[in-house]
Amino acid sequence: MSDATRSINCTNCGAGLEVLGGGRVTTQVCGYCGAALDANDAYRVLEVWDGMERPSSPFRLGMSAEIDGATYTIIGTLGMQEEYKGRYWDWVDHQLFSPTHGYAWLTVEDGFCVLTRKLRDGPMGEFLTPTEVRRASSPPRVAWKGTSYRYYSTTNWETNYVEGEFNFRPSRGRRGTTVSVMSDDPKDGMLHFLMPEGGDEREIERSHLWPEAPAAFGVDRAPRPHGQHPLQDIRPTFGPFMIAWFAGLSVVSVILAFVVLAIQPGPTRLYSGAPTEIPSELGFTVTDTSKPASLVLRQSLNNAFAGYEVKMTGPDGKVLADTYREISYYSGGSGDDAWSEGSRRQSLNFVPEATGDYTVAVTRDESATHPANLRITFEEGRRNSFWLWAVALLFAVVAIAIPFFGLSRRAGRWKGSDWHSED
Amino acid sequence: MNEHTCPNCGAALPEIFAHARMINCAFCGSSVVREDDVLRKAGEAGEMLDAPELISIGRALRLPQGQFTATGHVRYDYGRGHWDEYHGDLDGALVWVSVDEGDVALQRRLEPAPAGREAFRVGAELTANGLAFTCTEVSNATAVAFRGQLPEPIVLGDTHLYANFAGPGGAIASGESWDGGSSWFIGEWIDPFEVRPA
Repeated sequence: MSDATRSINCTNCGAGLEVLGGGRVTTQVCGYCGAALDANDAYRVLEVWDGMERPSSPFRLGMSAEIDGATYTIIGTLGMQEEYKGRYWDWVDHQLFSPTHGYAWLTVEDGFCVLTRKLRDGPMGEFLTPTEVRRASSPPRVAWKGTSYRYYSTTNWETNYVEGEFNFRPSRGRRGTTVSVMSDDPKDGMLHFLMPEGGDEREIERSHLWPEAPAAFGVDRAPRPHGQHPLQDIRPTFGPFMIAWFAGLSVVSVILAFVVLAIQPGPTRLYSGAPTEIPSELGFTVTDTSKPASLVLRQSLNNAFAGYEVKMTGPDGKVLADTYREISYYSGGSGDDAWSEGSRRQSLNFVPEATGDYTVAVTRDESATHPANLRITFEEGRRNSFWLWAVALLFAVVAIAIPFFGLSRRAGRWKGSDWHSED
Repeated sequence: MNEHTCPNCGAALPEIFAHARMINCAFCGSSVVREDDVLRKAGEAGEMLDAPELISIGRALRLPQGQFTATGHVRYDYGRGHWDEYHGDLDGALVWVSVDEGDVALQRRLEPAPAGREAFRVGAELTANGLAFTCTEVSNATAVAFRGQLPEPIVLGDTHLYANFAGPGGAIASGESWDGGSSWFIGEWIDPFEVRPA
């Protein structure tokens, strides 16, 4: 790098041009007349592109900023555009130069600032081309330094404005394709596989959001980002605190449910013995009408079933229930293959309307009988723990689902991807 | 105790490393060549124009491969710019680190030579250490200045042909060719942001 030359006169129009780049600059484009000058050949005119319209960007040539201890200067500006089915996307690429850290790019798109650097040790062996993307049946993936990057988009770009210095040969109308991939973690940035048209040069670059760029370069009016950038780290609204909160509520609900079960009054035994010996009528007394009561039939049968007619009559002689209960229990297998279905317990739950003496007639079904011991009990004053179990389950589901809400927010980073399942 | 003095001005030279064959006299700016432990003046050490530097002699740096301290520095001019080659100690091994406008590469001497002069052609391919390389750049460069101590004499002002070869996973090979000789190096790229003070 020669320190003696700090400015030149455009060999086409005579305008004074600052020399901001280093020794690897090959081309300088005059911002006044659009002449491309060969920096390696006495700035002879290579081509002139007149009538170029400077794209909107708050960053200007010559501005400097510090990145992690390295000073970068803006040395070039490219206006870029992509057209797809009549829609246009525009952005501005500024080439940066640091005498110690080399060349980089500052991209301004939709108000977002992105820093991009060439990867010398990128996954060149897995260079992803648009052809490979088109042939893929699922989003192509690229592994680099232990991280998996998934296909995000293909950009068919065209340069429509050139000004300043570049370490390559830019031109108005230069076209190319960039295939971009990214991981699920925005900190990994985005990898780009660049293929300019008409050349066999291929490059891999890596991008990160650089929201501090406007302040770092000291621009007067920082661009206002709009929309969502795929490299934005959208943190989940519900954090670990909320997960702990709902998990805690679930645990408390479970504890309360167990407490309710523990303080249930004990059952009153009405009968225990062979089903053939059940008295024609059993009696029990209801003293509490504020809580549900339950008539429970338990029979210790196995791989069998039995049926019973249950007819319950209230203190006033009114039939309150005339129903049928089937006790059915089957099991088999052993170890991990063990299975069972049905229950040895059946109940008749009701809310008593009045206190007093009730009667119940339990009659076995002759067509579905089993000799195993039958036990009939009456339970009243029961506290219903159902809703405690329900809310415990609800809180647990919410606690488990919160991280998935977070993932879904992060998955929003992918909504701009041009990969669709029908591709 | 240092017993070496500059053959040009008599000033005391710094302690000379065992591997050093060329030493810069910081007092008079001479380049001093050591041959069979005899020192003789070989010329001037050249003008090292001030420029921002990632690496400087004597300053320990942390590289991804280990701790590096440069003991010698050569500057090559390629016309519109220059690049710097630093020779020094990487955790006990002698290596070269080249710095060209943010392109930093750690390299070791490659012997025997993997190719001849015919490989100094963009697109040429060669295999070294089991890796396939493709030539990406061929140009001429001139050594314009040196500082510190170097493992081999450098003739300032002499122009030689150099070629850079890109390999897989950030591997790099490079060759230098001059009348009567050539030397080859192999290594890997380093992200300049991973060059940190030790």
